Order: sequence, then C-alpha cells, then structure tokens
Amino acid sequence: MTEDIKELLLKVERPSRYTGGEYNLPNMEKPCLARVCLCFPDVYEIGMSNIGVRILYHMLNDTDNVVCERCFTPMTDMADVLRQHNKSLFSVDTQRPLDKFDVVGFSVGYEMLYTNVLYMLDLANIPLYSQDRQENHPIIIAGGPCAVNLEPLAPFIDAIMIGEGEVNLKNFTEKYLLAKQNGIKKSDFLKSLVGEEGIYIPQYNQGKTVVKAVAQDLSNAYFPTKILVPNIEITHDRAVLELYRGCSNGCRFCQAGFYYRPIRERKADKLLAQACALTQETGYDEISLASLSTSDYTELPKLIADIKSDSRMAGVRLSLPSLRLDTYKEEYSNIGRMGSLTFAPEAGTQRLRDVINKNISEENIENTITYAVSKGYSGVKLYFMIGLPTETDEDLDGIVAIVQRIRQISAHHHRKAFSVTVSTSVFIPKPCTPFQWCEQIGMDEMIRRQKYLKEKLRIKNVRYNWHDADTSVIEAVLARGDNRLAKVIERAYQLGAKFDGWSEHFKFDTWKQAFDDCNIAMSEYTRAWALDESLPWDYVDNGVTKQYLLNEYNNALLGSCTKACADKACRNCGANRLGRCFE
Amino acid sequence: MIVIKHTKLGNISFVSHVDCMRVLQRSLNRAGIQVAKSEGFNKHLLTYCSHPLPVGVASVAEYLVYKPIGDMDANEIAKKFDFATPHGIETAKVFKLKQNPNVAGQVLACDYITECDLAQEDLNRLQDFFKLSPNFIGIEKKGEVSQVDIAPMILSYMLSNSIIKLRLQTGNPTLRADKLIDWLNNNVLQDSKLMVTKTVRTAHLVSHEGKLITMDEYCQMLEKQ
Repeated sequence: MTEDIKELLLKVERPSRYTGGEYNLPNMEKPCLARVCLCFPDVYEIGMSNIGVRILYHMLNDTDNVVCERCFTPMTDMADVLRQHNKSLFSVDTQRPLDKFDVVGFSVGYEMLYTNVLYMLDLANIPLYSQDRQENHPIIIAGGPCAVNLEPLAPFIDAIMIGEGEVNLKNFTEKYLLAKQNGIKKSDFLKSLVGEEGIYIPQYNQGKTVVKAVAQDLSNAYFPTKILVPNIEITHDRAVLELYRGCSNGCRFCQAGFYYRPIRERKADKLLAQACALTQETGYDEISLASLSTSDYTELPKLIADIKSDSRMAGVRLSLPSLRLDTYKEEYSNIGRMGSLTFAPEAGTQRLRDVINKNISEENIENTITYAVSKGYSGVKLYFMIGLPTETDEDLDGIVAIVQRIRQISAHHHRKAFSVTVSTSVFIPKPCTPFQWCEQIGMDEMIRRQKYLKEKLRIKNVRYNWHDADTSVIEAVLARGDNRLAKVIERAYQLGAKFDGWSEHFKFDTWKQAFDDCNIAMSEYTRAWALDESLPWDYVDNGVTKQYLLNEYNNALLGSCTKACADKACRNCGANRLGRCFE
Repeated sequence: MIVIKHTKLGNISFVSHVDCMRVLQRSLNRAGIQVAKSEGFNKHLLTYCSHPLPVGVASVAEYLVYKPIGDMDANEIAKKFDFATPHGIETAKVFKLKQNPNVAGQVLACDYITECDLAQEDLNRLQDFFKLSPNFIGIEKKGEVSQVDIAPMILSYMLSNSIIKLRLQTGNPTLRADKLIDWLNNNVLQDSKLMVTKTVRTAHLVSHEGKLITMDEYCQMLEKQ
C-alpha cells in the first residue's frame, strides 16, 4: 500500500475496511490475463458476510490466469477523502483503482443498493452508462438475487448474470480469457455472449429469452473452505455452510423460494467435511447452517448428530437460522443458547396464511411456543407482513390474537417475563412470484395499519417493530421496474441518494423529487397489473413457468393451499426443466 | 502463562486494538494452540494484550498473553502461531511464565521511532519545542480539546533529520504518539511533516527497582523465577 493511501486511511473511520490483508488471502501476484474486481454495493462488514461473494471470489481466484479482488462501498467519509485528494475508488486487496481492472462485477442482492452501484462507478471515474464507456474501460457485470429483474440498472451494466455464478460467471470468465488472448474487441465479445446460459447483454439482447443458469450437481459444486477471515467484526462473523438451494414450501410472496429452484441439496457427508475444513482453516468457533428453510433440509438431524459427535468440531457452536414453526423439532433446541427463538408466521389468520400458502397452523404455533416457554427460552421473535393481498383488519387482529395467546401460554407456565417481539414488514410484489401482478397498498394505508397494530400491541413484555413505509414503496417500484427507471436512479443519485437500505441515509423526498424530475409516477409500478400485461422480466426463463405462477395466483384468491414439493410429489412448477429437484 | 511477543506491521496496523484481539484469538484457534477458557456462562478465551496501539502506528513489540492448556515447546508455539496469523503479525519471542505479567497494567512508557525527512528549519523548531517546560498542547478526546502539559509525559527524545525517537508516558495518563504527531504537524512544523504511518512502537517499559526496563527484560526475569 502506498504511503499516500495510508495517510488517507488515517482520516476515516474504521480504515481496516479498506486495507484487506485478511488471513487466507489468495495470491494476488500470480500471473494473470484477467483481473476481476468483485464489488458489493454496501460496506465491508455486510459484503463480507455474503456467502455468494465469498464463493465467487474464491472460485475466480482458483481459476488459472484470473486474479479476483474485492471492493465495497466506501462510507461517506472515505468518499469525501477520495474526492478531496483526487483519488479513484480502489480495491481492498491491492488498492488497485477500479478503472484499472478488466472486469468489474457487482453482486446486487437488494433493490435499495442500486444507487450504491452508481456511487461506486462514479467514485471510480467510470462512466455510468454502458454506451458512454470506451474500449479501455472495464466490462461492468452484475448478478445476484436482483438479476431476476435488473432492468432498472440495465443501461449501466454490460452483462447481467442471471442465475448461479458457479455456472454463468465461470462461463463468462472462460470466454473472456479466450477473447483477450485473441485480441477481440469488447463490443464483439459482448455480442458473442448473447444466447449463453444465464447471461443477458442489455445492449444486444433484443428481446431474446435468457435461461437462468443453474448448478446441476450442488453437492459437487465449488464451495471454498479456505475462506478469508476478516480482521474486523462483520455482520455475520461466523463460518457458513449452505445446506441446499431453492425451497419446497412455495410461499406465494417469496422471490427467493421460486428464483432458486430447482431444489438441490448438498449431501450431509460432504457438508460435514466442509464444516471441519472451514473451522480448521478459519478458526471460527461458530458455524451457521444456512438455507431458505433450514429445518426442511432432509438430512438435518443426521448432519447435526454427525457434527456434534465429530472430535474435530469440539467447542464449535452451531446456529440454525430460518427455522419453520411446523417443522421445528426439539433436538434443534439443544444446539444454541437458550435465548430467543425466531419464527415467521407472516400472517395473523389461517385464512390469510392459506392465501399466501404459508402452510402452518394455529396448532403449530401453539405447540412450538409452549415448548419454547417450557424449556426456558427467554422469548420469541415473530415476523409478519402487512399489506398482503386480501388482507383486512381482521387479519391484523389475528396477529394480536397470536401474541395474546403466547402471553397466556407463558403465564400458564409462570413465565411472565417471556418476551414477545413482533416485527412487521410491508408486502412487496416481487418478480418471479405468484404475487408479481398484485398491487402494493398505498403509503397512507401502510402507516394506518402499522399504527393500528402499534395501538393494539401495547401489551406488557411485547415489543412491536415495523419497517418504514416509504422505503417499502421505493423497493416495490424498483423491484418491478423497467429500464425507464435508470434515469430516475441516476437522478436520485445526483440528488444525493446512496445507502438507501440504511434508514439513517434513506431520504424519501430525494426519490420523490427524482421521480417528479423524470416525470414518472411511482404508482405505475405499485398498482395491480393485468394478468395479460407484458412484464419487464418476461425475457427471463427462471424455470418456474408463468402459467404455474398464474395458477398459484388464482389459488391464492381462492384461499387454496399448494402442498410443499417432495421427492415423489412434484408440483410441476417447471423448475425441473433446468435441473433435477431432490437429486 | 505464555507471552508471545509479536509484530504488528503493514496493513494490520490499521486494525483497531479490539479487532486485533479477535484476530489473535482466532489465530490461536487456527494454530491449534489450546487456551484455557473462563468459567462463566459465556466462556471466553483467557487472553490478554499489551497497551492499545493507535490505529496506523506499526509495532515490533506487541505482547499476547494466554493461559495454556497442557505444555508446548516455545519454538513449536512460535511456528504454529506464525502459520495461523495474517500477514504482518509474526512472533519475535515466546516467554513461558508462572504468573500473568499483566503486560498492559505494568507498562509506564513506550518507545517509538518515526522515520522522517525533516528540513533543518523544522528540526530546529522541534528541538526548541521539546525543550520547553511546561509545554501545553491541545489534544482532542471525544470531540473536546483539552490543554495537556506534555513536558512530563515525554520521558526522552532524540531528534535528527531522518529519525525521531520518543519515549512517551503510557498508562495514567497516556501520551499517544499519533496525537502528538498530529499536533506537531499542525502547530510546529512548516516545511515538512511527520507521518503517523511511518511510526513504529519499539518497546514497552516497566518499572523495576526504581528504573525502567523493557518488557522483554521483565519477562526474562519472571521466566527465571
């Protein structure tokens, strides 16, 4: 690191966010033809917690002739220092300016990160729009969960990776190496990628269908165990095992559940080997078993037993996030500390849970809470959504009734201090879900429902948190947005929007002005869409067919549930076309 | 108790004291060095560190103390520890002691070396400044600037155009090398600057029989007991 950069770092908060030098850092000096910078549009602590970034970073560094570095969004103090000293945004690993890379890739996991992509390009002195970039500029690529509909960002991106990076990013990199060896121009290279699995080239695609890339054999797919160990505390500061991808439950609001289909599990014996290697290589004393619904992993009891009995894992704590109320088992309770349990019933009444296909019953909730209370847990956190299709005040009363029932159970067990935390987010109609056509309730109505609950949840030892209504509106607009929103995002960024996912930085008025300046109404994107309207993401073949989503939408209106997928009970969603479920 | 004297050089010098403690504990885990844990409900490793180093200042004399489980050869500890630490942290010495040397609490002063390229005029200004007694400077702490007499807190100094050696009081109260350098840059020097990032802590000093000795000497003494 040069002395001038060192001096700059002394002027900012937590300089170690920008210095790299973590344990297990790959060889950055190896000979290479392609230098890639993987960017995460949020701060180091959040980006380093992302398992996708972790996998792809090491996968690229394990590829011959490729060196991959990282860059995270600098906090505003760092950005000010960079601008004051006329410095370009640089990578964490070797402090190389972003505009000196061959490829700069963004992992976009959340719509509210869009302005941070522009912020990073701007700080790197890279022209924002693809059409304004020259041959000497890096190729800008993007992927991650938002790739299901990245149309609002498409004019800024040269290539969008739709689906799983182990497949499409690997393919892209191999093709880039060949193109570079053969001296092929950037524009010709991008044109040559049209039609490749999971690669969308906004400038040249012209309406052709892009099929999502899927890692067929997940058990044998690339998974690094010699991973970077951050020198500072990050948001999820532990080792992570990925149990499986996709989700069999089919909750009708859940984008991840549909987008990551087909459902593919990693084998328990492979996971045990990965767990042992991860803890030995990193020194972490906690390992998280991650997936969209951990208790649905078919080999979970075996995996837990194997990990607990393995001498190499002595003293390592296990954490089980994303547990479901209906599949929660007593043996999971002996794993962590007896703190609080977290569940997501999502809706307050059975009727609404049937609408959203959340297959849990009042009985499931009562049994699990009774168990938690009797075993000495200190409390329970419950997540609900407001504004779900067909929701009425009766459903909100249902949330209150659940909480009151929990209080009764805890009183019955003489556990009056048992705490209940209720958190509500606002329903966002997301692409690639059965609710993609639904309207989002207006902001006034969101606030009314939040106040309604706030009043009714004034109960001892009950805490109520809610997600800001205005953020939810912008998230919905961007989630269902088309490429006309690119100029709105650019305008919002010009007006100062960045770190929009952070409540302390988000300014709704800035976005409102940006929409006004671009003469676009937010309501165009939050209204109910006709079932025969063309959707901005229609060109993406996600596996799950539009007809299946439509059938599920109709089932929702009828309050009819669809059972979870199982090995021999396929629901014919279409994901099987891209890869076999439950292999 | 085991005392590992180690370096903190390069990028790792930007890692704060609290974060560095976590880095060192994880390094011990990776190295397979068995460390005793506390007896409480939330058990933690029984490890102790030397006096905090300002962010950006490097060091060739940091101390990590831990309570071992079982016995391990000092060379083996150094080898395993070095294999498990991030770049910039490297073992200089290992001491095996019967008691906790209290490396943070015992320290009364620390030595620092700053590489520089001072113009003669600035060197003269510095020499004049250091001769003053009492010698008040404004030091910012938690957003408030307070006037502190640093004369008794600079235990010794040696100035030249290319190198400055300082022995600064550490403990109660501490004169931080980075704060002093910042103040000198803003208030004394005109043509040249001192750099915090070119400053290295070279020794910790403790009191023994009325005189200051280095932490190494102190640990060697305890080792013989």
